[in-house]
Amino acid sequence: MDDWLQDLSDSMAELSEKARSSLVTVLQQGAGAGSGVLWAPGWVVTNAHVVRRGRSIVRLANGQEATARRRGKDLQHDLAILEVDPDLGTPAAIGDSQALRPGEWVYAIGNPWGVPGAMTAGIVIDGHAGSGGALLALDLHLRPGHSGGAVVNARGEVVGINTMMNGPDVGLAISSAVVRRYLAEAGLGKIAFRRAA
Amino acid sequence: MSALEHLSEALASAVQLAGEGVVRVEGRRRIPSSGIVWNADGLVISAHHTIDRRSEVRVGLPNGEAATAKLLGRDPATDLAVLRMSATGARMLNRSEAGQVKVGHLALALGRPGDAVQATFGIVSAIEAGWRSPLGGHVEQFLQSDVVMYPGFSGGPLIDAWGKLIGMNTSALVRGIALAIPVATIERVSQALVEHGRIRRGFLGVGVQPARLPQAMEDPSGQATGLLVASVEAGGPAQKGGILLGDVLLSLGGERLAAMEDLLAALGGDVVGKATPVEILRGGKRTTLNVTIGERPAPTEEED
Repeated sequence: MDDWLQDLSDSMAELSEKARSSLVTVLQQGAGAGSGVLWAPGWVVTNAHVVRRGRSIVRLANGQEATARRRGKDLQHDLAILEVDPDLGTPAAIGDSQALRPGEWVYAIGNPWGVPGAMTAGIVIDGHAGSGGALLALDLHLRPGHSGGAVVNARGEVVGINTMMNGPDVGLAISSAVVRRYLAEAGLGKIAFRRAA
Repeated sequence: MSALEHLSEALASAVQLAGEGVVRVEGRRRIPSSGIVWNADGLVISAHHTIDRRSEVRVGLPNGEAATAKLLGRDPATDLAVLRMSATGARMLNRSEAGQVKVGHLALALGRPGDAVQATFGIVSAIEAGWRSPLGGHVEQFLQSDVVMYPGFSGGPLIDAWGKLIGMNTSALVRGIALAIPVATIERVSQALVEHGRIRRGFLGVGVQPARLPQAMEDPSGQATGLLVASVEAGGPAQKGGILLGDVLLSLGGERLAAMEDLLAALGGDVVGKATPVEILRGGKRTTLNVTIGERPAPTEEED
């Protein structure tokens, strides 16, 4: 095999493994499993529609489980923030969604149809979609269970939170810029603007 | 940079480069469509089906400005429309050369239904020889990709991984697939549209269906089928030329008519207004009539 193709394949696999280490499954009684992103030590970001109750269980890729308490929600942007044990898992590196260009490679990660950590790839259609440009329009397929999971760029940085489909072929995600703004407004500015690791 | 970052950068750069030659075309009430800057004189190619009957449309340039463009002509049969804008705030796309594109190559579809350029990604799915669209337009290559056609992407370019133009995307010519009109067809049709404002096509005024010829009447060259005339339009070129219901058409202008496709191919723009020999089978005998071919009226336009 050509070296460059091996390199490409390997870099895709490495990135996938890294992205999975900061993904959690969010479990609530009486609801299907959603996803969440370990955004900073002790804090998980997910969709508001994934956590309708105050308490939930988060499960890491390695099977470790912990209790999570909802500390805030923003129904307008469909965001929620959960507090967990600060030693839980590996927090994600957060990227700058404002710098995304159409055509850039991205992955969506979550628990589509209940398959933990399943990856799907595509490109950015539009980095400033929706009213106010709060959404990322992505050329990939999101499925039930992807909600609350991460959109990751080619550097492995989280640039959005998977939220919904627009028609059969376009995935929509809340941009990391909007998540940061929300966290800052929620009084969590320190974790919102923590530098990417 | 990892290999994946290189790939991501290359794709984004191709979109950025080619996006400088993609304009917004406000040719209908619904969501705007896209257009391709075709040359340095401000010629813009777009999709016919996205432009209502009108002589001028507003176009949105990559630099955010808006301009007025004059509709020079349109060809429903290849879904091409040609506009000329006075503004020069956009640059033309580099074109992929014939034969460079292969099945399996990476491809991006670009559109500009809003202010910013948008992109979807896939591969070239199929390349077949020249074909004839359902409305009878000759297209130099059947070029299919698996990109998602986002609303407003019709009229925009399909580009390769280096940002070179492969063709114009249209979702209307064949439903359900992402089809691109190749550069060669755009070149030929746009030139005719700039010169004449339309693509002329011959018109006979008959309804036909393929019919097997009696064995005795089969051509020595092997023509086994002809086209049975099932209807003749009153006052049309065929009626004036003496073609009757029940005749079987064998050839037109020397072109053999064994299938419906052959008739569309034989009725090109070059035969319009010309007395053309039409060979028929009538009452068991071969006869040749001279028929003056008419011009096909513009098809009733579909709202889409």
